[in-house]
Amino acid sequence: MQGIVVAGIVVAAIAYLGIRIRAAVRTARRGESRCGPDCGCH
Amino acid sequence: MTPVLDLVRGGLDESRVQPTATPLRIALVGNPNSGKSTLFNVLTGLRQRVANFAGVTVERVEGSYRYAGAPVQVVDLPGMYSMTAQSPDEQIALDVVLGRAAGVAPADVFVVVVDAERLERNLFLATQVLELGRPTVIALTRMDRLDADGVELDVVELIHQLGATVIPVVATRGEGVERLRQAISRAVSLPRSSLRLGHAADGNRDAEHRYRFIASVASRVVRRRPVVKRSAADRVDAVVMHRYAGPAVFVAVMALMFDLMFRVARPMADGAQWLITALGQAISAAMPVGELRGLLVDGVIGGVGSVIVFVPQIALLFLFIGILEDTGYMARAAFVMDRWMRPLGLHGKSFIPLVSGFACAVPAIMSARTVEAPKERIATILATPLVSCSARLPVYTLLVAAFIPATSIAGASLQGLAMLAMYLLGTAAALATAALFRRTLLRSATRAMIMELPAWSLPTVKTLAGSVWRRVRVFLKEAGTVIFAVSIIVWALATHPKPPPSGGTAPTQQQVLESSALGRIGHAIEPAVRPLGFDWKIAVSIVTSFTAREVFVSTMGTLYSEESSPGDATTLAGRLRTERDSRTGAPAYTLHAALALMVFYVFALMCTSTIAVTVRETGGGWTGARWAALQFTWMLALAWAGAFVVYRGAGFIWPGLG
Repeated sequence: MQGIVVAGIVVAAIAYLGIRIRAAVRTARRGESRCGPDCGCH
Repeated sequence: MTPVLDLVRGGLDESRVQPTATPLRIALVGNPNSGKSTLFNVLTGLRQRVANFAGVTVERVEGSYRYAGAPVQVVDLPGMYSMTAQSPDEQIALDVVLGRAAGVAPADVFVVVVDAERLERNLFLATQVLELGRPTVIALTRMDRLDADGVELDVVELIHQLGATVIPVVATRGEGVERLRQAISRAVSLPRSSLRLGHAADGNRDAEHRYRFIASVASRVVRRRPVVKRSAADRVDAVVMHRYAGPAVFVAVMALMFDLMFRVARPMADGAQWLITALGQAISAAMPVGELRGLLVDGVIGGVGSVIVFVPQIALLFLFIGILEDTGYMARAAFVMDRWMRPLGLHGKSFIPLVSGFACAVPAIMSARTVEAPKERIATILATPLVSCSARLPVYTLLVAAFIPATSIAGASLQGLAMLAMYLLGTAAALATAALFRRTLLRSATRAMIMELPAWSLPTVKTLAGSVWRRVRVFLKEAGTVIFAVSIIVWALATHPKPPPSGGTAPTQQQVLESSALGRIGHAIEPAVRPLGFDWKIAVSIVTSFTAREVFVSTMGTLYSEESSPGDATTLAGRLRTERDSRTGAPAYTLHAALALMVFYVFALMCTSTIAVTVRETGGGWTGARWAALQFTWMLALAWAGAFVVYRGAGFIWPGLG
């Protein structure tokens, strides 16, 4: 049972990173702005 | 003109403003560093970044508020000196003012932000905007500083001269803001200025005519008390902007900053480390041995926890940067550095992106939009990520704490000096890189810099606390998302597949790690970094840190957490210091290798966000991708070569030191 839970968490982590990387690529391709009020990156 | 004067004197009430369902769109227009973003924050309640130098806002930023039940949309624009755009950020502002920005509805009301301390220069743009014949309100900022400057300003006379609504405000204290909101909401129905000065066909004649008019306005509006002696600010400027003393002051300020960061943040970091260790021990005691406990203790707490301990240092770094920016020192440092940067082919304006790079390369690269010439701008973008950003701080701090003795030299801590050396090396590499590209691929003449020096000012606690909290929040968010996810994946790869059972005895943690997927990947790529003195664990940590530099520390944290016994309270720095090579028994990491690793991180571009923003800011698509590829390859080559030279060179010069 623990193994299944852990496997699920690992798959979710991989999926999350995939989404973040895709978002970075979109930023580059479309010229979207990541920054704005409250964005905190600057 | 009576309604306008009523507004200035506070004679109108909110009930005369008719609520409407359609939001009123207003645009904040004004010279750089005139206080637009501070006013934007006060009007909207947002926390757009502000600082005491020109070029902080480089793109359109939107917010909103309600006044007397009616919605108002506010657009904060980059600063511009006139209606002639010189740089990409000015072009963004001009397009909105002229109503030709794609996808942006034209503004119903312009709020021209005029710095009362620099009235004559600010009125140049203000008169141009008034001539557009659109509803316009002039917000006269920094009124509180006039007295100290020995200046009196007749606002009523200014209203008569311009034929426009002028509202004095002190945005930092919120004074006059309600009256400004009222004026904005009524601007559409107020009489418009009949000012007509322009000579569209002849730019020079237009400017001449305009300045003559402004001089006559100033002579009627401004009264100056005679100033007999040099002010304290002038005396400070004479030192910090001196040809030789200026750069020395800059280095001394940076040295003090890193020294304090080590001394002040250390007890707080130790406290955070104690809490994280206690949490790991509590979970170990409460949960049975198994995969889930391993994931939580070794993966999540070992990984994320090793990064969280750097929060105090990150907070202090941003506090110092905030103080330097808000006092007006950064702009002076840019002025001083211009003299040294011009021979390298860089414009003084490039210094602001480079200095912003100490915080984060992403907004720093965006702030290069203030650099007008395209070739100078691309050179600045290519060089900026070499300046050590705050994400490198955990890597430097870990290695410095592990390998540099906590002793002092002439009153300065050796660890602080080591940190300073890394930051200076990064800055020198950035300048050298820019010089190289400006002499090869990006050759063009370097123009002289004309820069407006902001007045010295005392930073407010609110602004400083806001900027520190924003950055700490980003760091914690990164730790709770990307670093959290990477730590889980690293833990899974570092514990699977399990080694085959041998003779009924359980495999040791070392054997588990060696036979894991991560161990095999690490051993496969180890030859590429062996010449630099790095082992397979550093090799995999470098690879995982492509997601974000801090991940290097979290990966090492997970790897060493996996190797240690449950409840072991030794810090990651302590483990690195005592780690032994399993084959030879010699120390796994020498001082030479630690220095080489720090140099590697000074130079290497390990940040996907920076690569993405470089692609976008250098033209996007394939053009941008080519510049980003060049930047990445150049920095990786520099990192490998730099680490090799340091490792081999240090071993040759001080063979016994490692």
